[in-house]
Amino acid sequence: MNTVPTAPPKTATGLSVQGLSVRHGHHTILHDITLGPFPPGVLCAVLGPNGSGKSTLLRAMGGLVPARGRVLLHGQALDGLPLKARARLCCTLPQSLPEPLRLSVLETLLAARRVAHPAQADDIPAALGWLERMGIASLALRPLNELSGGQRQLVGLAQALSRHPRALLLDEPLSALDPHYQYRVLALLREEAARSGLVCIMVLHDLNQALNWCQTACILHEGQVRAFGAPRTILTPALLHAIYRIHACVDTGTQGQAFMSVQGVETADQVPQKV
Amino acid sequence: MPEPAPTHPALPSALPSTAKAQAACAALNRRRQLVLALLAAGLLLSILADCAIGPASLSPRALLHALLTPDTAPPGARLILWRIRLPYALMAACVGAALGLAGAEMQTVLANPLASPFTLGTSAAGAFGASLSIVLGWHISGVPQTWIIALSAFVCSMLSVWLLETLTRLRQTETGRAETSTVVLCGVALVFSFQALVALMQFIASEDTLQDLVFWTLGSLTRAAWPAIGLLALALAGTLPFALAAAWRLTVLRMGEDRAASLGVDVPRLRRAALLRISLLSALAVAFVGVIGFVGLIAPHIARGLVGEDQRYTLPASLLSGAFILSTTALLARVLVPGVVVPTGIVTALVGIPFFLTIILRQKPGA
Repeated sequence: MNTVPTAPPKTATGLSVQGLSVRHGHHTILHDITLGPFPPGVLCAVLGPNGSGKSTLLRAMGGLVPARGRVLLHGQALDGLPLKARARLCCTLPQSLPEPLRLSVLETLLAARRVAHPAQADDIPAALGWLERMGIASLALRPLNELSGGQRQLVGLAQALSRHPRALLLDEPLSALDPHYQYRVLALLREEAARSGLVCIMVLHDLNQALNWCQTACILHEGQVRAFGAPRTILTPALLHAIYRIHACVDTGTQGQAFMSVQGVETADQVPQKV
Repeated sequence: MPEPAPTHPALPSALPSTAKAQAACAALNRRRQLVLALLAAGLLLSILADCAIGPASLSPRALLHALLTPDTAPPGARLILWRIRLPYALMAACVGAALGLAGAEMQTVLANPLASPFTLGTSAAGAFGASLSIVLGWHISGVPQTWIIALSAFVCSMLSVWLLETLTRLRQTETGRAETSTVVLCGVALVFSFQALVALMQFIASEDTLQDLVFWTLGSLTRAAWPAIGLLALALAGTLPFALAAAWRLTVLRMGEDRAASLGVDVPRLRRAALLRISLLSALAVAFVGVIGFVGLIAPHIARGLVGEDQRYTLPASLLSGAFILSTTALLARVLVPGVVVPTGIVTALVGIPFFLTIILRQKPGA
């Protein structure tokens, strides 16, 4: 396996990071990551095994954890901006679901908007429009504490989308959703990205979704970038084995769709190295 | 990729129209305003009852006469009302309001349903500050003794919330949120530490000051005085606008610290400002009437139950609920045993413990 295959970004469009490092105590979570650009208008994926630093990468790009290095959105540095201005440009959706509150779905969206613009009047039609596009308009007046986890995840997504950011960083946005809503959200995000030139980066675990819906992907392993590029090109059997410890390859289906076929998995624990 | 089917079996078909949603939102807000108005009316009635009922009972007419036109009222009624009953009743309302507001903000910024000035040691720290200034006999010429006690209580309360914040930060999870148990355990440690320090003050105090100190440990409204009421009312009037200005940010913070930060809320700054307001309110309450527990814990729960979690309404509702609870409890403390005023702190604790247990038992395991 070759080392970091990325060169410093040359183009100014999209979101790129340069020399990003995150430490938590004495533990380094991200090692000097240079990555990108993630292009606007399409979906991009961040892949990698558990604990590889995917969430931390997203949180560092969004400015939610202290990090060293640069984050550039269309050539503009985000890292020097105050949190409020940064959040307006680049919205990071956390992995955790919105807490089950006694607050209606509609109010949840309105509050998210009012935080950015406290003086503006409530824009109920716009908020309802987003709920309708997500397919949860019927829940608009229900309190969050009566909703299921998946429904709350959709509310969180609608909250992020309704703020019209220029970059959207989603941490496992499909984790609690049934297949209908998983593909509905993917379709909505792809449509919205194409329409508004949004940079949309999401952490995914389902490699088939990355293969078929995302144009660009980066693969993290132990806090470092192992590959960056089109998912169909970078997800080679050698890489899948090195990263996920599975024996698998990417096949093409009858309608041109790509899918992973897994032949086996390594279950033996790695022999600890001698010191 | 095949396009997703337009409908989904789990979806109810009735979608609210914009007009319907707007009407529903307006109705909800009207309902909340009505609840606030009812709470305020209940508080007013309770204050009036507190003024009227007692060993020398005042009729409603005599009460209003002495209240509205004190110059022409009989001197006996005037004296009872303006010197004894009204300060007692207003002090109860102001302390309850301060604790209710402080508790509501504390439960939000610490993301903890068990947070309150009493349970997490802020009140105990205030009591220590107050007793410290009494025992050491601090005084500055020209400054009333009350103010010095209040200032000393405030400094110690601030120290305790700062300690609490720092201790819980040390053990936060990776998402930046301290676990419920960490906050509560650190708070318990602070309660015990400051109670021990208060006991130490009692131990070294002279016999005269000891009597003063016992008053703090019990929590009593009988020494209510007009300057103290004025100062507390001023503190409430000074902090409430700032709390309300932060209402949207506090509402978003209720959805989770991570989410609030992702929406552009500077959570550490919001938390620091709220903790400053909390220590001011609870320190003044403690400095004037001693440690009164459970009001700050229960009032926010009642407020959320009544008006939901839009903090524009939750904060004032918690303030009014706190004032109403303490006002009625104060009345209870006076009429429970005829001729004796039971220290209010004892009554609130006895009434509050069942609520406290209910909150613990209703918590989801692992939350």
